[in-house]
Amino acid sequence: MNASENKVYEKLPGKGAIVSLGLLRVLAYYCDDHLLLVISESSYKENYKRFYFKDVQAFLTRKTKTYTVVNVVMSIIMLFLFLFGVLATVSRTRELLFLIVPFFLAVATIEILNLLGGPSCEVLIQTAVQREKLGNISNLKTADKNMAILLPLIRASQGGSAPPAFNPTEAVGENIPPADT
Amino acid sequence: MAGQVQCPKCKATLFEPLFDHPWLQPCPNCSEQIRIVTFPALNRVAEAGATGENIIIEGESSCFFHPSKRAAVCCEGCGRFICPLCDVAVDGKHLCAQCLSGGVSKGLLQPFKSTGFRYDRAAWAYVILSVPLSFMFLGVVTGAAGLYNSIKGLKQKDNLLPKKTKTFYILTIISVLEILWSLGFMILIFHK
Repeated sequence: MNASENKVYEKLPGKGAIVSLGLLRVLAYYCDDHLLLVISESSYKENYKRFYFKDVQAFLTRKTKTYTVVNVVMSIIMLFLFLFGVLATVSRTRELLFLIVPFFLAVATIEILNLLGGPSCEVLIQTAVQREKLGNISNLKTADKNMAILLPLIRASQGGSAPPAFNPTEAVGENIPPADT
Repeated sequence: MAGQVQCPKCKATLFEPLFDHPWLQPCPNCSEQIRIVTFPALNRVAEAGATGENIIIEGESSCFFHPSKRAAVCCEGCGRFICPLCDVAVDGKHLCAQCLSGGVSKGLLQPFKSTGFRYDRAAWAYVILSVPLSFMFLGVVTGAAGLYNSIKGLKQKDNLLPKKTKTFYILTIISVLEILWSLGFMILIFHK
């Protein structure tokens, strides 16, 4: 086992999905020879999982529907709130606006954050004996940023020739090709 | 046997043309949009582990845990003779399973540390809780708890991740101020 004491870890981008509401917080760190997942299931205790670069077989990224579902749900709520607001104004019960406007702004903030995050995804890391979800990644932009850091480290530790086509640095924010492939 | 890659949704086995493509590709079975990045470890065939040689000549040094197996190395933790089956190489050292287990439970082997306690979060919780509780004369207790966690966090040496020293100093100062404020508030009320 290639493991030395007092590794210096650096944080990888991503804090997990906004919908998890911080109940299950997953952060990822890396050092020279492994990836460390820090899973906080309670507020104070955290569990660690290590994935040594020499054992990593593949990363599997799957586009999920969370982005679309959140967009649709938030848009419907915003539409209803807007209609309620209009009705409250027309029916001279403007006091209701004090309740509707903050709620509308809160929903709009979630919608904007979701739009800025971009399409959602889940990323799995595969080794010979396990397949684990990287909980810190919730969208494709974060996935690409993580890959840009991890891929060179994994390839350096495993040696061999790098696959020719994939360059995550170029692919950041451009996961969906412009034309059908 | 080399490894296989399965679709994360339908579990169908996926093959070469889908691998290492820069864009998301539809799974041939379920049409789910996926992207697979592979590494040389996928095609590596796992080597058979060492089992240890049987003792043929009487009087040969044997493994402490497997008396019928010939000793290969000496455990650097306890000095017992061990066979390749019992030998665990950690950071260039040879350890037996008992020493490894002891090292893990005592937190001496950082590469095997699997849980940690966040003193900073505990201290923050007590510090925030102290604000309303200080008006109920309990701020001293929660402030002290916050101070205890801050100092424990500052003294912690076996933490894996970078220590938040500045945060702990700030928490220590806030905890001390909260204790003083609570004591002052109590004195003010009871002196009246």
